[in-house]
Amino acid sequence: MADLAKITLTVAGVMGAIEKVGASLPAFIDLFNQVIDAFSEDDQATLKDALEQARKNADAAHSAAQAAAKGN
Amino acid sequence: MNKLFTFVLSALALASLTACTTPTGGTGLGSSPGEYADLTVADERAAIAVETGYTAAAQALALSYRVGLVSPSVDLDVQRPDFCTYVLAGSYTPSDRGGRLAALDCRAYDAVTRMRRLYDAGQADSFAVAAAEALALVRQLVADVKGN
Repeated sequence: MADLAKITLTVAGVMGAIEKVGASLPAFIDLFNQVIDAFSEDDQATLKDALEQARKNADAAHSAAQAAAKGN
Repeated sequence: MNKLFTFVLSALALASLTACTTPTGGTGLGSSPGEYADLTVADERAAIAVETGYTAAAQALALSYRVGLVSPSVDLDVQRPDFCTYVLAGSYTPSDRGGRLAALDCRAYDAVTRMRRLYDAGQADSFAVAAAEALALVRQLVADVKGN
């Protein structure tokens, strides 16, 4: 099984990655590769779970961004 | 950043090519001969990358508001419960940076959810295009949050 922790985002990790994006192309490629290298070709169940988790993370991040935009 | 987009498009193109050799049995039927339910491991990786990229950008935006790097908009429209629907209808004209970023987040998230629908429908060709479009908006969101 791939290590799902590899794609779990922490605030510090996100900010570190964001700070590098734009300033350093290799940094973003590293982030991209960390995501895609977390899984083997035949690890379908894990991929499905990871995609579902990624969707939930994105939904939560959108809600948080919109709440913060409203000053909540 | 153009290099980055080229890199991602290349990855997505590779994902589409791989679709010819490693079908995994999608969940729906395509609407044209070029859109079979043949999404692949590579497509799932691309989807995860886009979702993760959006998550990072939206979290950065939320943090930027909370720590004061971006001031909440003075536009009353931003307070609407249906703000994103309002934005996507083209009805919102932001008057400040806080409003522009909130609206851009709406458009980026909408692109991500459009990509999801195509993934769930097993429409590989349209999915690859939607993923690239979503990533372009994520890239714009990141750049704008940074103030570029």
